[in-house]
Amino acid sequence: MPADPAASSQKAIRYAPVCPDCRGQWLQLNGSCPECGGCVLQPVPLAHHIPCAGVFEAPDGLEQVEYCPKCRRRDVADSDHLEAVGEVYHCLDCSAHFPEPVMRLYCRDCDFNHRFADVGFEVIRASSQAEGPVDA
Amino acid sequence: MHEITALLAAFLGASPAATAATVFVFDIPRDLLSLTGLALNHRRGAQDPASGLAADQVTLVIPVVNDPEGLLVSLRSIRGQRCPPAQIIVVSDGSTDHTNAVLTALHARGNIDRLIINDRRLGRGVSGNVALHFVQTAFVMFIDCDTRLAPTALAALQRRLTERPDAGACSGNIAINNHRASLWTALQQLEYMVAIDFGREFADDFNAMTCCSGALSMYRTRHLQAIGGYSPGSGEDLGTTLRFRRAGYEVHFEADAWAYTDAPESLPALIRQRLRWDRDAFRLQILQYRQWKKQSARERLGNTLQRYDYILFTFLPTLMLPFLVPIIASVPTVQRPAFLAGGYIFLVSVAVLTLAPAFIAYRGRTPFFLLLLLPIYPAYQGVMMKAVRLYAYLSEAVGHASRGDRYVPARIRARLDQSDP
Repeated sequence: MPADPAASSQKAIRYAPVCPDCRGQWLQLNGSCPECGGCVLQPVPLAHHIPCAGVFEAPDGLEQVEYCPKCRRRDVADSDHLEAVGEVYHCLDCSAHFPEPVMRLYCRDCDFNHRFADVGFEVIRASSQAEGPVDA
Repeated sequence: MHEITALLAAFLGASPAATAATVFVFDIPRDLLSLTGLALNHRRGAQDPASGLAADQVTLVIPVVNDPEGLLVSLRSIRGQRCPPAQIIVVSDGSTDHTNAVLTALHARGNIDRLIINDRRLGRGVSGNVALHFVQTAFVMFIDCDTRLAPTALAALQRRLTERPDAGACSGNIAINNHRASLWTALQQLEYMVAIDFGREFADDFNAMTCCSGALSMYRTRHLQAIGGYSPGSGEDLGTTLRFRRAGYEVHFEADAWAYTDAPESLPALIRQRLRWDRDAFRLQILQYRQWKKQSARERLGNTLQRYDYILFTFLPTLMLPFLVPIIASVPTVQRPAFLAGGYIFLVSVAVLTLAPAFIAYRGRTPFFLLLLLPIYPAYQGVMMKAVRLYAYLSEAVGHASRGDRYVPARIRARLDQSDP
């Protein structure tokens, strides 16, 4: 791209992500599965039963835990011996579970999740002559 | 020379009861057994542990609290492994300094495969259990965040577990990284040589390993998951190993898997560490698991030997320490100074007898200046550390002192106390 002679008088004010496939600019952040890239994720609370150090998934929430799968105690749900220690995410496409989804950029135009490394960024500059933002 | 012989004769001849008690209290039977084991053992190490091993079988888990520098040392040693792990999981357990920022950068760079950040501290065992939730390989290995691994450590542990299908866990060999830092770290290095390199290998010969150290241990993932992961509270490594044994899995020691760890440099720090270890051992082995009792009618020989190893060679000699005073007092007054001097010469002689072959056969780096410490080693190991252990037992038995241990977060400790008064 030829250098814009007026560029020196402009300053970058933001970066717009651009889809590497369709050049669309309507991209939004989306969590995805680190194994298959799928975006249909279900967060599941991870419970910690303090007396036995058992850590297990509680898909229906901590209140619905019937027993601790490690020590088999039943009176855990309504006690203060059970605490949440984070969330795991289940990918409904490949059944993987992982502590945090990989953040990707979803292009609404081509309906695809792109890795950050693949997405281009265009610099939106502000003109010093108060002409409003222009594409560089 | 004649004087030394006379003093030894005074010790051995003054009072048979006093002599026998001294020999028992100062761990001489256990040390001689380890020496016998050393003589009988065919030391391995010639074979390359990494050859022919299946790759991508091990997940490495490192819990870390406010120690990014230590973690960087660990990660550097992990990069140098002959058989690298398939995945590295780091758990930041409620870190409050810049650890999380360092970990996030390492994760973004790909030095860490999976990063778990606990907003509140959960303790080492629970952090390990959270990480265990995400392990998908056949083996999982846990190390401390400041542990530096020798290049073949991971391969040696994996090989041992692969060759022993019934084995659920295997612990590695540990040496002191900073053994030149102070007198106390040098003495600890001597202690580790005897207690870990030879003591644990001797126990392993009889399938009687007591503890898979938290600093370096590998587990078969499905077995660790089957017993629900680590035990609660402090001493989680010992508690988990005892549960492993009781669940019927074999526990092993791999002497060729080396890790180097920093030891306390000052005496107060060393005493604090030992008080915690000894309280945990007493609470778990005596109060919780009642190791003097047979576990079941079909108890395996290895489990019986493991129980008696602790009761006979650690617990009882420690309890007998205060009784040495009246026993020594029963020696006639005129013979007492010669008895005490002869006794110490006897202990130093036994230390030389035990440690000299150990130096020759030791597979780690052998710092020969440690030989200069042999004259004070019996006082350190037999008197000072034993007194610390006795105090730990009494404070745990009378005051449940481990409840005040800051190793476990106060919030968790309070709930553990409620559930197990």
